[in-house]
Amino acid sequence: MTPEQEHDVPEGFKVFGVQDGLFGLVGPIFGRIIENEAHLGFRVAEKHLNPTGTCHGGMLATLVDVQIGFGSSVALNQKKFFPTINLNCDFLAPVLTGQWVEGRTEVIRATPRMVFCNAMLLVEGSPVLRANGIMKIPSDRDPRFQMNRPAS
Amino acid sequence: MTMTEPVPAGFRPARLPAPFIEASGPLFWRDEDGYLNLGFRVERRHTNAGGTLHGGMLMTLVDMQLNSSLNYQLDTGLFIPTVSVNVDFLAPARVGDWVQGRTEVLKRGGSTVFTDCRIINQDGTLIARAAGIFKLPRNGDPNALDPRELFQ
Repeated sequence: MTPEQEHDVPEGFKVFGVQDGLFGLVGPIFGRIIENEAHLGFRVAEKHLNPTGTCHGGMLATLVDVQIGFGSSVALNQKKFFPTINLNCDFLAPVLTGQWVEGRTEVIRATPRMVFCNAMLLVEGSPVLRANGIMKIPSDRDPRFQMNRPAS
Repeated sequence: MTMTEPVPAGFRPARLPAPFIEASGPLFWRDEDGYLNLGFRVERRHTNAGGTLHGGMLMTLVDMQLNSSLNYQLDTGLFIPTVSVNVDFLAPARVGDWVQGRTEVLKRGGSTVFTDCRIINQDGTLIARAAGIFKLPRNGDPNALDPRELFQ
């Protein structure tokens, strides 16, 4: 797959995240915000594969980890990075090279310091990974977790 | 930090034939009393926006630690796909930390395997605890690579 094909993304998606961390390494991953929903996605390339030639579970888990954290942060209209406490992933179906994978988050409950959410990764509308996550909402005074994101 | 950074005694590069691990690794392995340990040293390229080890990379180590241990500890050459992984993120890992895992196989049924794994850092601090469920394929591909050959 060429870089052009990896950047062939649905409408509204832009390269997501800092590029000198993990996304520079295994990405690019892409994101868009529609109202209070953040959608993250990527197109499966050769570098994402496991030995059987389908997308590695670690890559899908990487995407869904961001989908739960960033997705919850956007849904709650917060500009913080939410550290993950627990993530449970069910791998429902294999994902093939060239397929576009895209996530959705549903916040189930948020307290002042905790968020419980569900997330789904979809390929052409069909679920390929189901996840649920628990994140911590950091204090406003903790500078490590403040996010520089334009208002949605 | 480079790939030549020293690794703890007994660890050797794990030549896992997954393009995704070639992209995000390398991982290292050793035998610990019949158990397989997989580990790596955290570099900046593995980090999240908060500057600590990205949950997705930790999930990748967990997935490989669980999966490779099944081949090693159950002595089977089959590729064993992950059905579900549940990870508790107990402490952050920082750039320069060495993280490694160990897996307990709790139950090997006819087609399902239940496992537990723990990821610790160089001080023995628990970084993550995970539980995994795997599906044993009925028939393996006779032409597929035998993962046990990677850990000899």
